This record gives sequence, structure tokens and C-alpha cells, in this order.
Amino acid sequence: MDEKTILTDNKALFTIAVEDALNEMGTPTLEMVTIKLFKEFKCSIPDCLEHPEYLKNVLNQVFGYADIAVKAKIKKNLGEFGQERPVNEFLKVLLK
Amino acid sequence: MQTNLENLKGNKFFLFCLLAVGFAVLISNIISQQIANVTTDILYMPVSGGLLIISAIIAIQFRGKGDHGKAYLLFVGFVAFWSTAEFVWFRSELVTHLLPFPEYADWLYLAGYPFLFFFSVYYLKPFRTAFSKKILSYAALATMVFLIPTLYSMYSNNPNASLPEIIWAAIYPIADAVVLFPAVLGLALLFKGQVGLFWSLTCIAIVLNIIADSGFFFLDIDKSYYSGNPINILYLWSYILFAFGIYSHVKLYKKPKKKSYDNVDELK
Repeated sequence: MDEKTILTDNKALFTIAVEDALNEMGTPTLEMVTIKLFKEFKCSIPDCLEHPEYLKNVLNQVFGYADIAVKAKIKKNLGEFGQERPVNEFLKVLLK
Repeated sequence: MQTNLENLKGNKFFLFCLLAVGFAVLISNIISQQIANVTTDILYMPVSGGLLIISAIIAIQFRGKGDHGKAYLLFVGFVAFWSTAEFVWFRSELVTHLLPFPEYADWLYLAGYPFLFFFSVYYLKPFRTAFSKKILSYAALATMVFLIPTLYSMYSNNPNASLPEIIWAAIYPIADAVVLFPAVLGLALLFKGQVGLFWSLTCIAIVLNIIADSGFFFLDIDKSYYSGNPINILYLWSYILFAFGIYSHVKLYKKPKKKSYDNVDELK
């Protein structure tokens, strides 16, 4: 598999993990985070793999101190996949 | 969060509602107790009914999906019980003039509390991993600060009361304290976030209810309580705070309108 295909697959798995963490609260929560990401950073959830600080910023804006729980859920959803690059780098920034 | 509170301070309608309700009850009390009674009973109708409509809107937005979807359904249940209780109270005071003790409305108010409690439980469930011992102890402390003095003063002011009397006097402050615990947890966790405004207003609303319930009890012992007493302002304000809290979520989760482009070529 070429590098581009690996990145696309990684992004798909990553998106599922993030969306599932937000969907646990309800579809409008996922939609609100998606809209905020686009409004403020002109990016979507898959793009956050390369720009974790965007997602970190939006989660903190919305949930305050409780963002820790959402980040932990994303980490849990990523599972072993979270140890692979570039996801581990994303988690490092997100959980910092 | 600061921005949210500033927005709320700047919300003229919010301030207008609080002031209008306060002045209406106070002025009617100056005129006569009878007018105060009628004014207060009538005011409960739009205030609780408005809250019911706003909570139904947020429940429809979430369609019962996810933990927050279930939580909002439970909130609708809580408001439905309390607004029905207000209607029953209104009817028995102003229409049928039948006031049994305990009132039918009392059972409805009490039935609403578990819904409010489980609403908080479901809402906070996705954030359970963020509960630290420190936050839990703050919430427990805040609950005890309100509960213990209220129960102590209730007993010390009325040591000869019978067991059913004590139970009826204490049941509301106890129920308020039980729902205050998760509300303080929610406030502590979500204070900085945009969803936190609701929890700030909910905490204040519950504290107002505790003060009003305790005040009602003391006035009742003193035989100075009458229907329409200014203490009802606190109950009315708690409905307004709940309503504006839920409204902040309605606005937050509102889907933006999709732009329609007349000229599709502009997008290319």
C-alpha cells in the first residue's frame, strides 16, 4: 500500500473514533463540534489528525473541564491503533 | 463561560422576565392578599408552560438519541410533572377551592424530582471519567451546606410535630438537596464550557427552590404563609432560570440554515 492509501485508511478509522465519542452524547453534539471546527478553523474531523490543536480547542470551548472525558473516550476508541503514527502524535497533542 | 454569562447579562428579555415577575408579585401583595394569590397562580401558568415548550424543543432536536437525548426526554418528564402540578394547584385554588392535605399537586411535584435527578445522571454519564474525588467532595459539601442547617432548624423549630408533619416538611428540602448534588457536579465540570451556562442556571434554580421550600416551611410554622406570598418569586424565578438555561442549549445545538446558491458556478 502506498503512503497516501495508508493515510486515507488512518483518517477513516480516526474519524470513526472521534465521531463515536461525540455521538455517545447525541447527533446534535457531533454536528455542533463539526460546525465549530469548520467555522473557526475551516477544517473537518478527518483534518484534525494533522491538526489536533483544532479539535482540542473546540472540545475545550464546548465542554470546559469535562473535555478530559471526551478526549479519554477518543483515546479508548482508537485502541491499539492509537500507538501507530500519526495517530500517536495526534493523541500526544490532544491529551497534553 | 465568561462570554456566556456576559451574553446572559446582556439579554434584556431574561432580565425583563425576572424583574416583571418580581414586581408583579410584590405590587399585587401591596394591593391585597387576594390579588396576590390570583396573580401568582396565573403567573405560574406561562412560566412553567414556557419551560415545557422549550424543553420539548431540545428533546426534539436530540430525538432521544445518545445519553443527552435520553437526558432531555427525562427533563421534559420533570417539567411535565411540575407544570401539571402548577395547573392542578391553580385549579384547586381558583376554580374548585378544594385544598386537601397533602395537595394532589404535592404528589406531582415529588414525582418530578426523580426525573430531574436522572436527567442529570444521563447528561453527566459521558463525562463520568472526569469525576475526581475533589469534585465529588465539593458537590457533597455543597449539598450538606444546604441540607443540614435546613433539617436542623426544621426540627428545632418544631420539636412537637408528628412524624408525618416532619416528613412532609423535610421531603422537599431533601429532594432539592438530592438534585443539587449532580447539578453542582455538572457546574464544576462544565463551568468553563459553552454547555455550562445551563448548569450554572440550574444550580441557582435549585438553590432558589431550597431557600423557597425552607422559607415556606418557616412561614407555615409561623402561620404567616398565605398563597401569593412574595416567597413565590423564588419559585417563579427558578422556572425562568431553568427556561433560559435550556434555551441556551437550544441555541447552541441549533442547526445553521443551509445557504442556497442561485448561481452554482460561483462555487466552482
